[in-house]
Amino acid sequence: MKNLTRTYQILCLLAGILLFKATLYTQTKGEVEGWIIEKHTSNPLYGANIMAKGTLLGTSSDTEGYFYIQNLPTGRHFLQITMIGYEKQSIPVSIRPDTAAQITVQLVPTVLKQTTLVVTATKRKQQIEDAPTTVDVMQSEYILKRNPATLDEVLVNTPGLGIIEGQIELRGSTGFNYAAGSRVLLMIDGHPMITGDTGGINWEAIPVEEIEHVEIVKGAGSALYGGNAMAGMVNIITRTPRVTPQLRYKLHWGYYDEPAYDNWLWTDRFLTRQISKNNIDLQRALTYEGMDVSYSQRIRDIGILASLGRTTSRGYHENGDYSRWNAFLKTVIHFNPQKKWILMGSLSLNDHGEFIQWESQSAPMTVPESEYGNRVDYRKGGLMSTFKHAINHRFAYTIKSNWYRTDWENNFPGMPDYAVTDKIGSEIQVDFLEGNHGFTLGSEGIYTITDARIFGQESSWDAAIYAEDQIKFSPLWTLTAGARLDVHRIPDVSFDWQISPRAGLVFRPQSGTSVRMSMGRGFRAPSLAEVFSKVYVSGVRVVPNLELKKAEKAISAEIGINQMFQTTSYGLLYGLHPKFIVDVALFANWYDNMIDVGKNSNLNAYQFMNMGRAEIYGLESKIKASLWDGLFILNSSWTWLDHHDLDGWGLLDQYELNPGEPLPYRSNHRITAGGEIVFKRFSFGLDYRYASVHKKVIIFINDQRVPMHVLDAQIQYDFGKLNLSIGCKNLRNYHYTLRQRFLEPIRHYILTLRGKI
Amino acid sequence: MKKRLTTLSTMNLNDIRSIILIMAGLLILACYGGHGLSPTGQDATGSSGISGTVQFIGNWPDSTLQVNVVASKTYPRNITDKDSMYNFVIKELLIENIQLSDTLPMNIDQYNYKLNLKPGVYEWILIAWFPDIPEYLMGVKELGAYYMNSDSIPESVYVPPGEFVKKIDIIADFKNIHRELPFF
Repeated sequence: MKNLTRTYQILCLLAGILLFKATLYTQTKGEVEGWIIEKHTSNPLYGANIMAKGTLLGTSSDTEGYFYIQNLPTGRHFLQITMIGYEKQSIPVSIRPDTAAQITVQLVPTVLKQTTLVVTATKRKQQIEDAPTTVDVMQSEYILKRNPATLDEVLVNTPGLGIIEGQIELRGSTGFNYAAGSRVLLMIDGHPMITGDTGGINWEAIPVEEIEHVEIVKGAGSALYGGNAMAGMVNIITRTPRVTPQLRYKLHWGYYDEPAYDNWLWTDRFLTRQISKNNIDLQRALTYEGMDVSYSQRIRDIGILASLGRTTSRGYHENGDYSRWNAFLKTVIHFNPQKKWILMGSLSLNDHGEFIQWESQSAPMTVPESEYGNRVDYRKGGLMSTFKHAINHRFAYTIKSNWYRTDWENNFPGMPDYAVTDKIGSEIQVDFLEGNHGFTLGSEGIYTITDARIFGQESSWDAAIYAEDQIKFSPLWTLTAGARLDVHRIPDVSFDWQISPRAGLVFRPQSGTSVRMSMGRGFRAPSLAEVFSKVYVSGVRVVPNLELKKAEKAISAEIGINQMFQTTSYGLLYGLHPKFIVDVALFANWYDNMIDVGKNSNLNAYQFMNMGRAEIYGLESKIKASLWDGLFILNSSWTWLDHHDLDGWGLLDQYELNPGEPLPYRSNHRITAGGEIVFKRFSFGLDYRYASVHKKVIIFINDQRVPMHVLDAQIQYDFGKLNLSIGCKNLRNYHYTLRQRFLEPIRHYILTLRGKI
Repeated sequence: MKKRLTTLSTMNLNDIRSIILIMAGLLILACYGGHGLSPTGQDATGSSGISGTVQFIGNWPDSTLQVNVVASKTYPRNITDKDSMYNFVIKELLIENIQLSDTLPMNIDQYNYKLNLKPGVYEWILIAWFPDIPEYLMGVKELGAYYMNSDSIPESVYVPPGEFVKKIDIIADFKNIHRELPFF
């Protein structure tokens, strides 16, 4: 506690100094207002980002295309206007005292819809080309066209990203460890959405329909985000409440097809446990359906976005049904253009069957008799508060606080279980510009408390301070360097501290070319689940490990290049009018004290423990192409990994003497490919993803394993106020597992109707 | 030169062919590889395993949870204590060197069984009795095993690919439980 108190004392002193310095910059100020319109149609553009270059001041345009920025120092400024789907503009403007400058900006559509502003890589808005690590962005339009029930269903189309049982596997980072700790941090508008006990992710709690875009940052992020970001971050940016009222709704209905083999058919277990192989009617009863409604409006200075969703499914396998409710509320209070308070709340209820493992490969859709009827009842909720204030063009600060609760119980025969976990966090961040430097300083504190049968009543404390400086040596070179000090404490068990430095360099020799290099150190403290788990399942006994005191660490390095190609003369390449964005990255990660499951011979049981060293090398290449002036869009990527342990560790004896073994549950190759034809109101798209066979797994090592080949297709027609789409997931009805004895979704269809009033 | 905007109506046949070819290429790429996992019984090599008769002697105890035919690739010759036996079985189960049949019907005198196994040598084929207690895995007992003559060590059985080895008959004696060591 003494350390935590001292941390906050230092923080308060720091904030005081900075706020005092901020007052020194009070000087003659002016304002600028203007309108953003589409060049060809002169229609106002809603949601364009306007930033005064070299300052921390900015805003976005409303439904009339109007924007207003105040407190700008007098003199000449450049306004940068960015919007997805339009070419970036930089407009000079002269600010005079007590006079509002007026401008009108015409944006030109571009066929390659690439987000230009991201916030996750350095905790503040920056051009994506200035990010020192690889950043992928997934747009709302892309997500909604694919009609996912939860975000993870579409996130797997990201290059180098896989998801096993809800855990994010980014460039070979996590593999699969039974949801006992994540090496990738998931956030919603910058607030962590990692559960306090296991460090797992609750995908059902994320409001898919309210997502504006998702930023996926690869590489060590601990220098700014701490423990769970040792391999990267996924930040979900939600929509901003609209100025004019809008009611949106979505109705969807879908059904699961039959498996490819007749003898895999399973009967309707709601009636009988006898297999009725030819009962086609019962197979078609495996449906899922849902409805989402959201309302958005701004009343004077208060914007509100509220949504409610309901989804039910009978599942494609036994114990696969679920019943979900989701609610989301976002309130934005604008005190003035430079000061706002965002308050968000989310609630998710999910009562679902639990499928631990199949009966046999001859009957992969059913569970063993003893596990039939296993259920878990989940309740998750959170409150997130963000206060942002740009004091002047050089100083801004952000205060965040959040509370996240997970509460579940199961009915497993012989081992009913429950867990209630609260995670409370707060963060203060200060951004400060001085010359060609952009400083980001901050402090964060997290308290976690859990009461569970398998963990007991335990708690943990985390506190951190961080600082990063972005130096623009010239328009060509940008250097980023920073570090974070983290303190992690589990009362009566462990106390640990870590320093995570990071440095990055970006070189932009010409327009359309960006070269990036970065190196950083990441860490992850053991989760409460890894220290205190006490469970006996399927003959395996897992016991607590109070000696698990060391954080696992990783050093990550990356070098990459992003290049845009564009032909200007018509007729070249048979009239294709090709435009390409190519990105290639080489990366390496060296792990130490990696935490995984191991055998404790003295206790005749299994524990999470610090296993040893490992290394992962890889290459990731991506290409995004537009042909025929955007009529045909093509995305593809290939990620290659070379991964192995260096000390010869693993769950079973036969692995222990073999250093150099591949790491479990990692693919060596991942490919994604997607094509889309967009013509007026009609679009047709295909998404394909491939992952090679896991060379090593922990249990059931003799089970048949196959690579992943999944093809999804979707057709969409936009009627204006209504949008109709038909999708088919796993079109080929390809059967595969990502973790043993759990068949991934078979072919299923979905019909979706979206509308807005 | 004024740039001509392309739309589907202004595209020539070659353009449309190109789009169709690209989409078809994606489809072909994606369709390569069949249906992935298949039911065990549909392997090209055919199924393999053992079959035979289990003869029960004595009364079935009331505390019986279940009885299974079990095949283990290894016979634990040098294991003499409970903990080591427990570890051995857990490890062998996880890597599937131990296979279990479906649960046998209760309170019967004789049963003809069939057990699918991967090809290989199985050193220990036995009948396992599971007691109806919370930690039932700690109380599992051997009712009988596949012996030739009167050897004290069970007879190994080789299961060739695509074949069922017949007449692996076993006597399960409730009055004379052969091994006291737990193995689950």
